[in-house]
Amino acid sequence: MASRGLFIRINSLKNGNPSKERLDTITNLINGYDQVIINSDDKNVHKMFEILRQITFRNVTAALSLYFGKVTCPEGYDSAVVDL
Amino acid sequence: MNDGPFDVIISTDRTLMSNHHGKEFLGFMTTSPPIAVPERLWMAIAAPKVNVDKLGRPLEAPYGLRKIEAALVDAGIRAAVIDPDHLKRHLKVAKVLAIGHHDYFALGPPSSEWWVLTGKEPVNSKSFRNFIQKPEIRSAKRKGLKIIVGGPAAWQWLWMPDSFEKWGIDTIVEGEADKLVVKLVEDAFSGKPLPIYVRAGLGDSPRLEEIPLIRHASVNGLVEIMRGCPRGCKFCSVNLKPLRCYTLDMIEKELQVNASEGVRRCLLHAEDVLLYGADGIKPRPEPLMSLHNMVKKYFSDVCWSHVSLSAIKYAEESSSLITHLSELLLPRESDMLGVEVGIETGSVRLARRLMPSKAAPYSIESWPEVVRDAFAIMHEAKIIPAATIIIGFPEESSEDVMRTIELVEDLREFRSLIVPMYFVPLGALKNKEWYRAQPSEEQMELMKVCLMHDITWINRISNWYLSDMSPLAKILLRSVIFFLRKIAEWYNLIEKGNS
Repeated sequence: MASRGLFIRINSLKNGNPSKERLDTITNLINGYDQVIINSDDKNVHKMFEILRQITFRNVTAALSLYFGKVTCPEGYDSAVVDL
Repeated sequence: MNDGPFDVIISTDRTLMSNHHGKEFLGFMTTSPPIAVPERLWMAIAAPKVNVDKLGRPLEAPYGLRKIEAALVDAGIRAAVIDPDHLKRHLKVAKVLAIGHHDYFALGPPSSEWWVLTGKEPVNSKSFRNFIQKPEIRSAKRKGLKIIVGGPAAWQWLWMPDSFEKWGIDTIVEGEADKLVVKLVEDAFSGKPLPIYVRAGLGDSPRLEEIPLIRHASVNGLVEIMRGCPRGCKFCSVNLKPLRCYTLDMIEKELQVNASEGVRRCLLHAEDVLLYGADGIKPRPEPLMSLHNMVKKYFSDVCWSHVSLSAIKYAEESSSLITHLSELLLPRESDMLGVEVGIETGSVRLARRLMPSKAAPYSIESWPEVVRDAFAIMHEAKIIPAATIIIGFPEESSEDVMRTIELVEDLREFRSLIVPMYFVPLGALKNKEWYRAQPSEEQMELMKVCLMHDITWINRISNWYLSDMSPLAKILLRSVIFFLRKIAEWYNLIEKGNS
């Protein structure tokens, strides 16, 4: 079966911890895919690492990559925009 | 052998780039701060420098680094493992520095436990900090060197964003990197953006035929025979990897590499060596005897990395396999074999919640009995377990700890070491004072019981373990053991003269 890819653009990175609802939303999104690329134009390492920790603790099995800008949605990938 | 220049340098700090005097277990000393001796001496005992060739390539290097080297070289990339003291000339031309580590920041067990108990930073994280701050690395970084970090402790960087930024790390790779690293390096060469973080998914795990075979010798002749583990314990990430068993042909090629480069021993590595060629979780005699007969053709000194206690019990009860393996591997009266095993808990309640398949094919309700029986079998077979116990699971109650204390006390008559691993909840890391979190009264009691067990056995085990070491190293190690015994006596943990 062909692997499924998802490209997520983080639209806005808010102050404070991401809410459980938002983490649930992104985790549920990721769980449907084998390859996930997350792209955040906001280069906030502290914030993004915290989000990655939260996501990876939730037993996500997809391959995950995080970029700070510079990448576009690869051909054949679904895309989504989320606020965190 | 390619004599350079190298586009990719693979390295790590001294606590890992060492053969630990040929004694893998001494490597654990690097997870602790120095005890009773100055740090320089502690490091000389635990992690002496390795011999290198004229280019600074170590004659033995950590197996994980050797796998990355093999993956890159197989892909046509000029890459080499370089000793940390010989980086300077290579980093003037290299484009990528790939670093692996077991415990970058001393956040994993048992380092975190030592940190909690002593309030002092273990030598492994200090050594890594000195490594990453080397002037030659800083200078190369300013000139555009890409730094990729990975290995079993890659997850720790997500808790250390300040260090990630300060040291100019480009990419964190978590999980099996055999395939991923080639693409990352090719992207770095071609100027494509690198991800800040990559975590291997199931699709990134190499199929058996894609696993690269080491091209140069590994520390203490370590050779992987399997990847993954079918038991699915909740506290362990290994079960996220698909299970793959190397063919005998693959294993033999790596044995030949080690033998031809002068390594004199072999350490078979798997999460459970006895599951090589198994029928599910039931060990089978044929593949295990074939494997060990083949290994004995190359090495007389063979040991195992890990086995499960349930596999020990089943293998002996179903086919006397442990006795047969002991006869093959340990022909002389004085021969013994050390191996890591996981007890983790003596509480059936906790075992059922956290590791429901740990006792299989026996029921998890019989876990304490499985542990006792397996220890008795190993004692008879001259196999010395270095057993771990995990203290401080979030679900753990005082009653659970008491059950573990009872089990450890039951094991006193069996030749073994029992090492409590203090589980530090990662949430606590947000608090900079996390290492001051102190164990409960029951947890301290369990640690004392383990210490009493170890002191009972340490002299007899060290007589065997240190027998082929240099006189100086023996004196130093015996001094450390003597000092620990005196501390235990001082605190009334053991009776004076107890041996």
